[in-house]
Amino acid sequence: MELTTNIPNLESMSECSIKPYDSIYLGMPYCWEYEGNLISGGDDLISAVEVLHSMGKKAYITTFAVPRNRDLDRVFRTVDVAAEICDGIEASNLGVIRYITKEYPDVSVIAGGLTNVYTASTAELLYSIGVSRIVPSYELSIEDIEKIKETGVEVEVVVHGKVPVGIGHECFLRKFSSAVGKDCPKICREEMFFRSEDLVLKPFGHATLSGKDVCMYEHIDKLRFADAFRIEAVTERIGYRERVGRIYRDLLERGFSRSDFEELRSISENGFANGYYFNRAGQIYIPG
Amino acid sequence: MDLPMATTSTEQVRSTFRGDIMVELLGPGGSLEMVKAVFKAGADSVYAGVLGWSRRSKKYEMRDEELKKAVQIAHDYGGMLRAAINAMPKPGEERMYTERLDTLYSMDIDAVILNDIGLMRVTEERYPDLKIVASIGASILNKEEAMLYREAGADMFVADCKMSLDEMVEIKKYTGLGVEVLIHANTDFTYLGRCWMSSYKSLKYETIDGKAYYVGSPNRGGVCFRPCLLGWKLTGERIYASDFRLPNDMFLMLDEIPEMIDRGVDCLKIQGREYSVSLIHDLVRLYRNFIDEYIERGVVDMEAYRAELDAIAEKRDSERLRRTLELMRAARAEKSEI
Repeated sequence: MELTTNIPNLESMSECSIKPYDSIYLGMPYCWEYEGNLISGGDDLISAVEVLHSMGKKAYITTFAVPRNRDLDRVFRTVDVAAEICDGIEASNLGVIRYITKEYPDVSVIAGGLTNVYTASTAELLYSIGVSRIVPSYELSIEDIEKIKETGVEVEVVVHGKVPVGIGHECFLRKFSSAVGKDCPKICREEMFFRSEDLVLKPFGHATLSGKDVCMYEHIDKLRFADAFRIEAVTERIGYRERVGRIYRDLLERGFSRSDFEELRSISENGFANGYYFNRAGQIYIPG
Repeated sequence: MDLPMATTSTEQVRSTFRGDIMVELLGPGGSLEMVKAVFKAGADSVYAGVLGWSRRSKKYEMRDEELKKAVQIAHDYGGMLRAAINAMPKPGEERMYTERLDTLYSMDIDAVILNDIGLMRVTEERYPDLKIVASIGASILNKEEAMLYREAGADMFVADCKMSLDEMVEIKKYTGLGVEVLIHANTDFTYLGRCWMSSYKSLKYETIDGKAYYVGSPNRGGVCFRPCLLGWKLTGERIYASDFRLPNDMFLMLDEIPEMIDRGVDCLKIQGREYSVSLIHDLVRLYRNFIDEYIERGVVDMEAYRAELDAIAEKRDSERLRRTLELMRAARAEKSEI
């Protein structure tokens, strides 16, 4: 089982935070303007890949999740660099996937969760054009994901962290710059949430994330058929990635620990959810 | 611009072909009564949802018998019917999909509206002569993505509401896909097929004729509970803002339509299966007249149309508010059940 996570920039890349993981996705897919974003390629990306390889980790790069026509050249330039140095490229846009599979047929392509893979038919189509791994739509239940896996493609699932519940054409948070007293790119360094009734959401770049942490710690055995477990931490502080990664590494190697589970709870700002794994509303948590 | 080739009557579907200018006016078919009204008002085509399989509440979808009648009505008017089968099925329901497709094809439908690229390929392989429209839920964002849909079998794509006309034209030129634009719809702060806020808040799992049906998930067939329209706060170290809505705005296009026609947009779609028949009839009639007048004369009296549209928008807003409140109440009730 591959344990993986994501890191937006070099600044967030400490040795301790990487240690529990087998592989790392480099770059922030929700916003071009994020400071030091590794999806912009350049020397930072090369350095990050070198660090990971020197630690024996796989280095994947992610790409901007919602590119319009005007963004394509920029995305493709990064892909051209990444294809030479990375162990795989994650794309959540079918146009980017088309480009990579045509131009670099030998590169591992991972279809990210925002690709919206809901059906075995789409999994088969992507597999047939060269996609090697799929993060199924976040809205799928466990039995749905098993069906995706039956197509032969590798499957990666989020086991912990805040998952996207929407993505759009702009950063909505920037509209609050004057109220917060910070503008882009500093504003998203603040921990901020949208709240209404029982809902808590985390705005971040073009994306809106679950305010609660999806947590499958108690249910991990139900997901063992997957090929990779992801700790979704691209918008989190360094300590989060390190602590959560260590807890899940221990879970995989030593089994359940009540104290570790309680530590996860203490890290979470707004509590746990199971996402959509059990055909329930995404924000509900079912104890194991 | 060429002059009109023929005049039209209200009781007969008119082709909006005038010389080298052609645009299709597509209306919603939330019921058989609405299908009739849409054609009477002058639409070229209508779309109707297949029960349990489209991106709307089952209240506004049709069973097979109704769909057959809807096809008949459409063809009697010389028009076309598109079957919306654009909710995402569960993995494993692909066989049910092909059975549905076979039934629809045997009804002589004119096109299918699909969301899932894998099902597009299945459809293309099974019925290569059937027109496939990539739904707005596919959220096609760029020309490379559109090309993959084209390769999977799509003939036309519905442009995201945030896409500029330049982008649409670029995609059309690059891929050869037809372009459909929503002229009455809503736009919110996410791309339409990339929003799971409603099902994050509340979700109820049901089945319809053995097919999974997710109340609360727009992508998977149920309604959207519109949580973006709740009153929101932005919190952090303190409350930075309160009682705001996340963007979700209705629009009725008018000023943009002439340029869209001139630059080759192929289809103008009026959304609204959930609205009253009279409202939809009035909307279709207004757009019919507007399009015909523009194509025939090259100019239109914008002020007169805008005034008429404003009056319709007022009625639409009132109907929408009632529906939003109904959905918000349902979301709270669903939550208590699950």
